[in-house]
Amino acid sequence: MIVATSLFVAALVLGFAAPRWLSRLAVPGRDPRGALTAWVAAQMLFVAALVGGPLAVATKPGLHVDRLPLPASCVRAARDEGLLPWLPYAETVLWVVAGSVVVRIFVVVSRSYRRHRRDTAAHLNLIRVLGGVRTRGGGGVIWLRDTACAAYSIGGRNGTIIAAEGLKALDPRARRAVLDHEYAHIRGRHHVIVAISGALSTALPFVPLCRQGAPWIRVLVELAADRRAAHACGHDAVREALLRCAHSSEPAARGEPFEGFLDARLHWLSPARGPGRSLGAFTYPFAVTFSAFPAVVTGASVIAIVTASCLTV
Amino acid sequence: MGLGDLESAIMDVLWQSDEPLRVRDVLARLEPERSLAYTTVMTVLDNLHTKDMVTRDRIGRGYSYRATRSREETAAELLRQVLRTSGDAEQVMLHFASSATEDESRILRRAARRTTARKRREFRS
Repeated sequence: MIVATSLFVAALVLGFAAPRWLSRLAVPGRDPRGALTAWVAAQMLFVAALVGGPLAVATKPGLHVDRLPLPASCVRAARDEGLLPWLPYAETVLWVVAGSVVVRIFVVVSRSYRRHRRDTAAHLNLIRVLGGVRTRGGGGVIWLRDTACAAYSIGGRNGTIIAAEGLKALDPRARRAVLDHEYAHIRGRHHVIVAISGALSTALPFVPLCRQGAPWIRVLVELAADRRAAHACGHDAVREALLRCAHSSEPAARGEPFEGFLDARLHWLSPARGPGRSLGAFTYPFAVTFSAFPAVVTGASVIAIVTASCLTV
Repeated sequence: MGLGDLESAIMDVLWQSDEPLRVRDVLARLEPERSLAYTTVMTVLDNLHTKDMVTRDRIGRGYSYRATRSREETAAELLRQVLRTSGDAEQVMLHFASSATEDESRILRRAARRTTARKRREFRS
């Protein structure tokens, strides 16, 4: 019960408070992959804590251990002596609440995943016919006969880039930057990350981590892919490609949010100042620790409170 | 916009042909390893007609089919569609110069403002 309560409280902290500290990680000039990792890790930990809570209630790990640590042995003794009559009710409530949330997540995510796979396969079928590709399977670049300066990618086992021939009017470095941007999406499994965060947002819109996580992750995957392309082809190449492709898109698609988003991406693309701002070896572990630390502290605090109150009973 | 396996194979046949084709013509031009029933091809062509991918004219008791738009026109339409819907939370196709929802645009503006304010404070102190 102690483990289950700690996990449940940690999930609450992550779900409702994590956006406050995660949003501070995204800073222009700093590598966005750190912030992206932190958001994804926080969402994964949130789901893991939610799954772990009911699992701990059901399996009661304390019963299978001979030498229990102090808090667990204290709670067990108090329960056996009938000092905690409300404990079974609390266990049931926790199991029902966390269990129903987990079931909802599972149903929505699996439904969304199936729809995503079906739509992607159908889209790829059409693209192959339009691009005159006779071979099965995906991968590589499929060029479409169109004058637009546009490219996009489809994820999956054989991620594919679809590019319009209008892209060939770009300077070779800028064209390479566009393709590298899309390859970065495929290599980074960005389509899966975006799909899962979108499904989580649909499943639990009342949880800020899920609701705010979806747009944050969509933004950060674009910034991360921009950064990757800039690393390979140079900032100027990505900047030129962004400006040329943006201005060749339909005026109807260029609303105020679009212009703002483009300006922000150009701003974010500015080279990192100083060696400490680029992606280092410690960035990913730091990002995961940063996202998990408050939840771990909360879980530990719950254990400490239970111990203290049990010892005073 | 998307097509099933057989739908895309049939569209490929129609796009390769300069003239309208009847069901049996389509069946004959499909890859030989596909052993398909006449009615299967007819049903798929009917589905494509519902999707406005093909138009049909009555010839005797049957129909002759042709693609509504050329391959190039369909490619252009598809690209426009993807461009319009990129930034849409339901779409998981990541477009290079993607548009953004108001939420996404606001997130970046806020983060940039916070950074500028912090720099200003550091400069003053």
